[in-house]
Amino acid sequence: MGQLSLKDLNNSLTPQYYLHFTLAKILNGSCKTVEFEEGRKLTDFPDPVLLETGNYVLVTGKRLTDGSVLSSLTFFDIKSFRTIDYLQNPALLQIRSVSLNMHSP
Amino acid sequence: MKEAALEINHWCYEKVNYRGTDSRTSAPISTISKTFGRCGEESTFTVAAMRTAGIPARQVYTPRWAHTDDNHAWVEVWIDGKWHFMGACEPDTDLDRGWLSEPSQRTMLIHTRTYGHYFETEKVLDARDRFSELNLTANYAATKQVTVQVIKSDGMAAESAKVEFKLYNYAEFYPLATILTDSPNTT
Repeated sequence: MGQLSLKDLNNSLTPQYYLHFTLAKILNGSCKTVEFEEGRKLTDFPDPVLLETGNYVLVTGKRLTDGSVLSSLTFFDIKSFRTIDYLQNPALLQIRSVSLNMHSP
Repeated sequence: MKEAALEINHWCYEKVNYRGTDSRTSAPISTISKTFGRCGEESTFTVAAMRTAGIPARQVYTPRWAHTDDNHAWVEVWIDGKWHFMGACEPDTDLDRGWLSEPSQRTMLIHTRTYGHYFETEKVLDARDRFSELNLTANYAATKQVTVQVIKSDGMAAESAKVEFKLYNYAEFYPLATILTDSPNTT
C-alpha cells in the first residue's frame, strides 16, 4: 500500500467525489475508478488516503452553466511508503473540453 | 399506427411515473405493480407495451449525457417505415418530441441493442454472438467519421490496439465505446 495526500487549497467550493473529482487506477491501459461514496467532501477524506501501489490518474472537473466542462487529468504513481501531495483546484483549471469541428472535411 | 403509439404511451404514463430506483431493472409487470420506475424501467415497460400491441419498438440508450451528469434511456417505435423516438411514459402530441430532443443533439453516443447478428443498414458498434449494438447517434445529432491510428514506439501502426472513446461525466472519463484497431490500422 502507498499513501496519497489530497489538499483543498482556496477552492471556491469544497470538492466532492464524483461531482468534482475522482481517482482511477490504471490497469492494462484502462482506468478503473476507485470507489468512494458519491458526494464525499475532499475535507472528509482521510489524510493520507491509503491506496494500492500502481499507476493512477486524478480527474477533476467543473461543469459550467452551458454544459461544457473544465477538466484536468493528473497522472501519478503510488509507491510504497511514500507520500505525494496533489493540489486540487477546479477554479484554476485551464483545460477546456474539445469539440469536433463538424464543418471540416 | 402513429395514433396508437401515442395513445399507448399515454396509457404507460397512467400506469408508471418516474422515480429513481436501484440498479436492478424491474420487469414490466413489476413496474406496473409498483407504479414507478427510473428511465430504464419506464422504457423497458413501454417497449413491452408497444410490442404487445404489435408496434415494433426498441429501447434506446445514451450511456452518459454530454451536457450533464448521468445517462438516459427512452424508446423508438417503427411507424410508416421509419424509427421515431418518444420519452417512455412521457406522452406527447406527436412523435419525435420531448425534452430529450435538445440534449440528444449534444450526445456523443446513442445506441440500441438488437438480438443476434445484424444485416441491415444501421451502423454496428459492437457485434457479439447474441446481440449487436447499433450506433444511432446520427439519427439525433450531427456526426462525422473520425479515424484513429495508434502508432507504436517503433513508428509502426499497432494492430488490435484497444481504443476507448470516453466522455467526461461524474468527474470520470466514462468509456462509451471500446474498439480494436483493425488490420489496415484504422478504427
